[in-house]
Amino acid sequence: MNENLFASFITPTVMGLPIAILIIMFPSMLFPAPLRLVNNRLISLQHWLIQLTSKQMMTIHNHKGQTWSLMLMSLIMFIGTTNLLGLLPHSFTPTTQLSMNLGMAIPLWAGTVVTGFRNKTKASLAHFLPQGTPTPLIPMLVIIETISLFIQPVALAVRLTANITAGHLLMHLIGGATLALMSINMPTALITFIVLILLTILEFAVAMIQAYVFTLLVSLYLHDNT
Amino acid sequence: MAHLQPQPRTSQDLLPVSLCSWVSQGACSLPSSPRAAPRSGQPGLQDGVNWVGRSQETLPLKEKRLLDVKLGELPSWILMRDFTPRGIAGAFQRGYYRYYNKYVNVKKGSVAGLSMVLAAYVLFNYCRCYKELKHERLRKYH
Repeated sequence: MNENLFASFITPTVMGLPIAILIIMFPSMLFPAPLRLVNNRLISLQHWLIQLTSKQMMTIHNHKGQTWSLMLMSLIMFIGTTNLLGLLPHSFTPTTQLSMNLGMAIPLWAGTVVTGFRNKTKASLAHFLPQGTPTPLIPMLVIIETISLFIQPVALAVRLTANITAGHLLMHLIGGATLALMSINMPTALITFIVLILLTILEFAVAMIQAYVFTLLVSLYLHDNT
Repeated sequence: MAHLQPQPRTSQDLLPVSLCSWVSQGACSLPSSPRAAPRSGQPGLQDGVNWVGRSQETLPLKEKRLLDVKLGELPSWILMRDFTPRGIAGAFQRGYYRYYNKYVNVKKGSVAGLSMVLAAYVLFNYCRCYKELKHERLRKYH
């Protein structure tokens, strides 16, 4: 059982060829380009959702921050779609791989920090010291704030990885438990099945929430730095 | 439809210049109604998109469509297809637009257009991990 549990997280290969890249590129097929004034239903639905999300996320930024809209909207679309596609049976979720999440988090976070240092150097450096600290505490607090800054990309990546992986693992385990209990004690299996249904609903929510949280935090770091 | 440029459906029709040709190609790909037998040598609407002025039987092998290729000619037809990266990319592009224009890019598309894609994705992933999954079947001997 132990080997089965983690087998769905290994990088997928078909006859020795790694197809992880194909699986990562698959969500882009589900977003067709709007070429006309009045589009088909799929595009109209996606357009409405993206407008809703972008208005929610980008109004807090000033003009400089709003140049990041395309980046942040693609980010939330990608993470949301990838997480939701991972809920289909037997599929591989790229966001369970820490390598990929670090690859998303570190450049974005570094971009926000470098933007801040280039455009508002004094204000960015001032972030390292909260207002109103007593003088003896200043050295320690600067160190703590620096550590807190450097931990941001790691936290972003690990948060996403851990949430999605844990959700998938729980579903595997509870599903396996339901199957095993079916021959032993039917009412218990039924209860476990209800737990599985509730968990699946939670996973749908988590898939979208995690995308939102990731993007929101990047946008927050951006807001501090523009 | 007289403004349509008559062109043979070879594998060279990648990345067309304008949108109209794509929409029209997608819209009249593989007519679903059965074609009436063409009178000898005369082209007609029955020949679908292949408007080179000859009926299907007299076309050279490279320009025939798959359903018109005779069984004996099949190996040579397959070998004549364009297997360069450009040709393969063109094949994927044509396949994508064929599905898209039939099921998604319509006035009243339904959830079936998207769910067929997701079902195919699930099937693909199932085939991919069959090797590990076959040990989990309910059998006495594995």
